[in-house]
Amino acid sequence: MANMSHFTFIDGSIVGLYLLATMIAGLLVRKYVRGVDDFLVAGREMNVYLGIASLAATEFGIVTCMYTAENGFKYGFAGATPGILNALAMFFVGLTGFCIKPLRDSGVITLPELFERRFGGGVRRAAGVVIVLGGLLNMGMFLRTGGEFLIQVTGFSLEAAPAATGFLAWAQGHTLELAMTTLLLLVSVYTILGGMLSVLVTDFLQFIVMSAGLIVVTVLVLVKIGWGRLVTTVQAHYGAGGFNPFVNPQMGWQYVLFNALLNLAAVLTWMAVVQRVLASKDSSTGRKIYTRTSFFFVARFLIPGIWGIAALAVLGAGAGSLQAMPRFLSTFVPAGIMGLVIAAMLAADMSTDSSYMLTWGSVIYNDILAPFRRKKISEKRGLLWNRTIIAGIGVFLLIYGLWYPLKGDLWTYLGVTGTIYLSSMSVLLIACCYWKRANGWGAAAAIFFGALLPVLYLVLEQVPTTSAWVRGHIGPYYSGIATYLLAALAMVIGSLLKPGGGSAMTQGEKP
Amino acid sequence: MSILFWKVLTAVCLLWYTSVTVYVAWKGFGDIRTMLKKLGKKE
Repeated sequence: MANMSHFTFIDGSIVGLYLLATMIAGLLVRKYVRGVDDFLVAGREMNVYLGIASLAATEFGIVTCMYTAENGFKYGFAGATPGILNALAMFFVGLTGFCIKPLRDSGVITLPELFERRFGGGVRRAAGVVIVLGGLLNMGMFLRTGGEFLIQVTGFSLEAAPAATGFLAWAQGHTLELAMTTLLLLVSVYTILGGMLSVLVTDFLQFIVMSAGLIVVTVLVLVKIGWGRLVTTVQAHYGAGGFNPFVNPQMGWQYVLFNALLNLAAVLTWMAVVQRVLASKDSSTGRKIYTRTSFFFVARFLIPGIWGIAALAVLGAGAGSLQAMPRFLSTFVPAGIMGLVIAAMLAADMSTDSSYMLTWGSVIYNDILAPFRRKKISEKRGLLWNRTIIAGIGVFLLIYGLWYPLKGDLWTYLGVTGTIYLSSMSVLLIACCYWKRANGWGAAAAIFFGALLPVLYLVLEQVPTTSAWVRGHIGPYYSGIATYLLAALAMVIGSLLKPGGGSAMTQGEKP
Repeated sequence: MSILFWKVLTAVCLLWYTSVTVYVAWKGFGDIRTMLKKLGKKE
């Protein structure tokens, strides 16, 4: 497993310096956290540029880098299609204020809180459970993937040296687990203490470091390997399908349509993204953050995609699709710059992990546990609850991230698990804002059917007797498209079956 | 045609990302100072 990585002492020092600066910044701002609002939405004082940095840093982790590079390795340039669709969706939503304007104007902390106003307390709790279930299943892959990347790039061995004994032998045999635990501990410390404020400040630092690393490596790839060789490699392996998703036999219209639906739903309801709108000082700021960050989502897929194609050119198709890019980087990036790359990837991962832990924690506190609190609790006690929940999420991630056996490609897994809630939540949000006849029955039906198909798909994919059939005959794209359609249909039928119903939230409606 | 599309998109992407990083780094720092100042005053 050992390789000839260019990771040296100088690189280690750069990484150490970055980690120190992040921890100091994250811990310094914790004194501004005085209540739950400060902890969860930074007192709603976030402005445009901090929002752009935070949104970009949150939505780019090591896991993102791995699956987008895997897309480049497996599909060529066409693998960046989801990024283009994501950017288009975000630009459209930011420009029109579709859903996000009434959402921010309502003054809620989470999506389920908004749903309660139209659909009742039951829907709020059910939405909270579905959001946390889908979000945590999705995030479960982050730690393992991040750990694998770091080990590959730094060249640390996964096997114990023959001479090692005792704890040293154990530690060398568990490098992945130790790397994951250390990463999570660092992130947990400042997230638990400083909440959204620490997340925003560290996101800002992480955005700068991450962007510097991404740009430098991409320029290196283009200079050393060359655009011509990248194009030739894609042509040789995938032909026209490497440039056009519609003619790629592994992709096709169903891949494009599924990703269009997935990305629109993510832009509207992915809590880690939406929380930036909720933390912004007003809806106009939230919309600007969306429009001005939208093009980043092209870069988010295209830049690591180019690294994946470079890995294909240098290592060949025999290299594992997920591990090819870090293996390639470990020998391609020179010493000195390697430290910047590792710091960049750590920055990317830490910002994502911290935001996601805070996001799912806020839903657990605000929407799942809130109904069990009979009396209003003090701000101090509320903070303690939030911090405990985040610590619990960290423990879950550590355990789940260690044993889940991933089948299929990473982006598809993330898409399927994300669909568990994106399908129904996007339908609920659109209906809540714009359809007067939508009611609790329709919402409950949309949540049920929106979660049913993806969960069924994941289970059948794990059962040996049905695994090949499910992947061969149905596949994640058709089942994903069907899930979005079914959730919308369930909302319409459920709402029409029950007489009466509320009215659509008007824009600017306050709690 | 599609190769040219990806070539242009890659070039635009790198140029856009570089300039946005520099600009956001500069303006975002100001945003943090303003945010902390306002939160400090709330006390």
